[in-house]
Amino acid sequence: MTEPVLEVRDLVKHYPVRNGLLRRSVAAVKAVDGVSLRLDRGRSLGLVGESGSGKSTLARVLVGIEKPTSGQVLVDGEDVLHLSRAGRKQLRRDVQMVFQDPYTSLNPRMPVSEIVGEPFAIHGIDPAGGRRAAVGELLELVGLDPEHANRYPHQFSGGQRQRVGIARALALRPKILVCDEPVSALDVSVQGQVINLLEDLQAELGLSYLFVAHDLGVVRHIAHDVAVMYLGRIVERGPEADVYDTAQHPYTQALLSAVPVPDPSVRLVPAAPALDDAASTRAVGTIVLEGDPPSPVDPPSGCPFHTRCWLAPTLPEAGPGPDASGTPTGRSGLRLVPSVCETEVPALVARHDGGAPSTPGTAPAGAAAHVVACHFARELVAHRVEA
Amino acid sequence: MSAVTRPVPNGASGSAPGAAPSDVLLEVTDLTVEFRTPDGPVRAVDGLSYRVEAGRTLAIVGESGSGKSVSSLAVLGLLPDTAHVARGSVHLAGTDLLGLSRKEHRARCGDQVAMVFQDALAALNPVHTVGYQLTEALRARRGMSRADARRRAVELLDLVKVPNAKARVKEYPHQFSGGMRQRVMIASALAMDPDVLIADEPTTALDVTVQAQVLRLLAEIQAERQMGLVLITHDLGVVAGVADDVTVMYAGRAVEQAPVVPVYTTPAHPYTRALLRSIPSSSGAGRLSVIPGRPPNPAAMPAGCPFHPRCDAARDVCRTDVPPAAVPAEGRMSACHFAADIMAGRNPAADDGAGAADGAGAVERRDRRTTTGDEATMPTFTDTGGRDD
Amino acid sequence: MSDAATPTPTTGSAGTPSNPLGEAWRTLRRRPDTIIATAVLLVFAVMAAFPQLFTTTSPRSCPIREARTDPQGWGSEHPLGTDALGCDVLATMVHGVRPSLLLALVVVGVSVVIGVTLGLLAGYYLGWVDYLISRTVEVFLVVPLLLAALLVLSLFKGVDLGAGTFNVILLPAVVLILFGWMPYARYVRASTLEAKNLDYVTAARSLGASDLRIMVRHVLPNAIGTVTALLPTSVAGVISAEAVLSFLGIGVRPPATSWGIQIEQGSQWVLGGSPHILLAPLICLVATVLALVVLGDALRDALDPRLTA
Repeated sequence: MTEPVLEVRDLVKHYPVRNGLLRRSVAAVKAVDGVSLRLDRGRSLGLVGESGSGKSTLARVLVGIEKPTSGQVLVDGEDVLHLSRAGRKQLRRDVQMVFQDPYTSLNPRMPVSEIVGEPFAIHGIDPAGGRRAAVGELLELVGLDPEHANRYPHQFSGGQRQRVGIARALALRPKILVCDEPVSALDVSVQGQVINLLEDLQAELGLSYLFVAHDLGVVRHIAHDVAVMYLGRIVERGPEADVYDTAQHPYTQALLSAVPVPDPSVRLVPAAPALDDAASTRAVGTIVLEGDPPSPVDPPSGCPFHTRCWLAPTLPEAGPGPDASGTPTGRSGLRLVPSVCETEVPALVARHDGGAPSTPGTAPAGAAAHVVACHFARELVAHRVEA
Repeated sequence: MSAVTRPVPNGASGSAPGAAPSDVLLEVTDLTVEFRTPDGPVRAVDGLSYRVEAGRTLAIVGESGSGKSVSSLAVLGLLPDTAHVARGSVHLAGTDLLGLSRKEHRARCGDQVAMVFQDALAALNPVHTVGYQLTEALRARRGMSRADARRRAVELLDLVKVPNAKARVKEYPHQFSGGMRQRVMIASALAMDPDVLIADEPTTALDVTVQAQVLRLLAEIQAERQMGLVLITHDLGVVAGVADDVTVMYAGRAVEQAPVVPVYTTPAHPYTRALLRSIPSSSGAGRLSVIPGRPPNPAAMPAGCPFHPRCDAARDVCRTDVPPAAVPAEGRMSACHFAADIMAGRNPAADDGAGAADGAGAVERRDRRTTTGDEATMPTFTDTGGRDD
Repeated sequence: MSDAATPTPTTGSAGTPSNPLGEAWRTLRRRPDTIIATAVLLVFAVMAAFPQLFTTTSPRSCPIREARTDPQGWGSEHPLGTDALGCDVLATMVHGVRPSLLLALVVVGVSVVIGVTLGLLAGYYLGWVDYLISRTVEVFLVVPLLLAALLVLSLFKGVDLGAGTFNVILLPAVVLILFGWMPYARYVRASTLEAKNLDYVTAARSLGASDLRIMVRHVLPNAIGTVTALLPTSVAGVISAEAVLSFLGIGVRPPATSWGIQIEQGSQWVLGGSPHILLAPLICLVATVLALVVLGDALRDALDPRLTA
C-alpha cells in the first residue's frame, strides 16, 4: 500500500451570497460540501462531474487559490491550511495546476521564457545553471524547442501552449499536478499528444495527478481511481475499472450512458431509415436524465440527486403507500421517490454484490475501495443487467 | 477571382447513397470560400460538396480551422466582409442561393434554412424576453399580431420541452440554464418552420447529460418534421450517436464522405482513421495513438495532399499531387490516392527503395527530428507529437 | 488552387529570436502615418525648446494700431497677422507651445498615474477599498470644474508663484489634475475587473505571486489599453480647459501665453472678419492631437506582441 501524497478530509467550500445594502450574507453556494479524497504517490485520480458539481472549486482550493470554509487538506501528511505564511508558500510549490484554456492561461504580453521562468522569480529561486538554462530544460521536458523561448504565446498552437502551461507548472518540481480539464479546449488530434505527455511525465518524475474533467473517456484513459461528483458531493468513488464497468450510483450510470461513444452501433437517437441498408443500427436505450442539475445555492434535501434520479421512482419503496397500485406518476412534475431519499443524505459506503452496506470503518483502504453514496445502490447492479 | 467560373463538380458529391434525389433539400456543390488577407487570398473552404436530405442528419466533422463553420456561414450568406465565395453553388429547393443578392439570400435562408449556434448566451439578446426574441422574425416578416406571436412563442417552447412554457416566455435569457438556453435557440431556429437546420457545435458548451437531452430533442423534432439536419461538430462520439451521413473535413476540404457506419468500421481516409485511433477508448491503458504535428496553416498549404505531412501512409505521390476524389465503394468518397488500400485496412505499397513500415495499424514512429521537416511549410514550427512519438 | 497550395518559404526569419523593442521600431517604420506624426511632434518639441528659431518678433510687443492685421505671408512682419490687441499671432503661438504642451504633459501624466493606481487598487481588491475609491470618483465627478477652480484660486490668493516656465502652469495644473484623474480610474477599474479573473492571473496566484506582482506584471499591462486610447483627446481637453481657467485668473498667467488663451480670444473674432486669430492655434492643436492619436495607436499595436507577428 503506497502512502497518500494528498489527502482531503471533509472539505467544505461555501460562497456567501450577499444581498441588500448591508451586504448581509443571505445564503451560501455550497460549491463543495464535505468531500474526502485520497491521492497516492505516482497515481492519478480522476474527478468527474458536470458544471456546478464543484470539481473546479475543489481543484482551486487544493492549489491554494481559494480558502476552504472547513475541512483539512494534507500534503504528505501535513495540514496545509494551518501553516504559517512561509510554510504555505513552501507547500504551494508541491501542488501546481494546469489550466483548461491554453489561450487564456498564458499572459499574452510575456514571452514564453518569462512565463515558464516566473515561478523562479516569485519564489526567488536560482536553479543551478541559471534560470535561462532551467527554462530551456523545462521546455525540452515538455517537448518544445528551447530555442523558441523568446516567442510569445500567440505564436504557438493550442497544444503547444498547453505544453508551455505544463512546463510552468513543473518549474517548482511539484509532487502533485492538479489538471483542470487540460485537454478539453484542444483539437481532438492534439488531445492525445498532451495526454501522452502527461503520462510520460508521470512515469519520469513520479508525479501524482488530480485530473479534473468532464470527458469520461479521457479520465478513463489516464486515471487509476475515479471520483464522481454531483452538487458538491462525491457520489461514487473507486478504482477506474470498477466505476466504469460496474457503476453503482444511478447518476454515474446516467453519466456513463450519456457519453457519446465513437461507435455507430451505439446510437443516441434512432438512425434515419436507410432504403438499401437492411442491417441498419437500432437505437440503444440510454438513460437520459431530465432537467438540469439543481442550483448549489439550494440543493435538494436528502440525497442531492433525488430530483433527477431515474431509478428512485421505479423502486417499490417509492410512492405514497402500498395502495398506489403502480400508477405511473406521469409528467405532472410530482415525482414519487422513496422517502428516505428525500430525507437522509446517503453516506459514501462500500456495497458488495447483493450484500448489506459495510460499515464505514471497515473500508480504510480509502481510494482503493469502491464506495457509493446511494440508499439503493444494491439494486442498481440488477438494474444494469436489465438495461 | 469572380464567381462565374464553375468547374465540373467532383465525381462523388453526394454524401448519402440510395436516397431518391427528390428528397434533396440543400445541395452544396464545389463551394470555395476565400478570405482576403494582407498576404493575398487564403482559401478556408476548398471545393466542398454535400447534400442534405429530408429526415437525415449530415454531420460535418473537423478540427478548428478545417473550414466546417465557414462553409455553413457561406451557405447562410453570413460570411464576414473579408470573405467571399470564390466559386461553387448552393442549391436550396432548386434556387442557387449564391446567385441571389445578399439580402434575398438572407431572406430565403431565414425561411428555409435556420442556424443554431454554439454559444446560446451570446446569441440571445439579454435585454429582451425570450418570448419576444422567439417571435421577432414572425412579427417582422409575417406580420403576426402580438397575441398570436405570444401564443406561438409558448408553442415553440413547448415543442422544445421547456417546462412551464407559458410563464417562461416572459423571462430573460440569463434566467435560463445552459441547456434550456440551447433549447430556446433551437425554438427560435424553428420559428419559421425551416426545411434545413444547421447546428454549429450545438452541444459543445453543455454537460454530457444535458447534451444527450438536446441531441435527442433535435432528433425527435427532425424526425417529426422530416427536416434536414446539418450537425457541425468535432466530437466523433456525437457523430456516431446521431448522424446518418458524415463529411470529414481537413484543411478546408472534404477528405471523406460516407454513411456513418462505414466511416467508423472501414475509414477510407488516413485522417479519419487516425482520428478514430486517437480517441481515448474504453480499453483504457497504453499510449494513445496520436496524429503528429498539427493542421496546416491555410495561408501556407503543403503541396500535394494537405494531410501528407501528418499522414502515416504518405508516399511520394502524396507530396506532389493533390488527390482526386476517389470512390472506394458505392456511395463513398475519399480524397486519398490510396483510398481503396486504406479502406481495406492496409497501408499502400511502399515507394521503391523506401523501407517504410507496412501493414495495418502501424503506429506512429516519428521522432521530433523528422517532424521538423514540416516546418518549411508552416509559418511557425510544428507541434511535435510528444518527445518520443 | 495553385496559389494557395504553393508553400511559402518562411524558414529564414521564423526561427530567429527577436528583440521586442527592435520589433516595435520595425513595425512603426512600416507605417508612413507614424512618420508624419512623429515629424509633427518633433517640430512642436523644437518650437517649445527654441521659440526664437521660428519667430524673431516678441509676443509681448503689441502695437494696438496694428490690431487684427490679416496674414501677410512668410517673410513679412506678421506672417500670420495679428490678434485683437495687435500682438503677432505667429509669435504668440510659437511662444505658447511650451506652456501649453508642458501643461498637457504634466496634467495628463499625473492624472494617469493617480487614476491608474486608484483604479487598479479598486478593481483588484474590491470590498471597502473599491467602495472608498468609487465614491470619491463620484464626488469629484459631480463638483463643477469652475467651482473647484474658484476654491483653488482662493487657496492660492496672494501666494507668489514666480514666473518660471513651470510656475506659470502650476495653478491650472493642480486644478486640472484634481478633476482629471477620474476617467482613468474608472476605465482601469473596469478593465481590471475583467483582467483579474483571467486564467493567467489565477495561474500566477497559484504559483504564490504577491498581489503587487500580479497587479503590475499581469493585470496592468492588459488593462492599460483603454487608457492609451484616451490620452490624445485628453491632451486636447487639457489645452482648451486651460483657456477657461485663464479667465478666472488661474490659467497660464500673463505675460506667458498659451494656445488655450489664444483660441479663446480668437473665437470671438471668427465672425468679426479675423478668423486667422483662431485658426492658427487651432490648426496646431488639431495637428498635435491627431499626431498623438496616430502615434498612440501605432505604439499600442507595436507593444502588443499579438499584433506584431
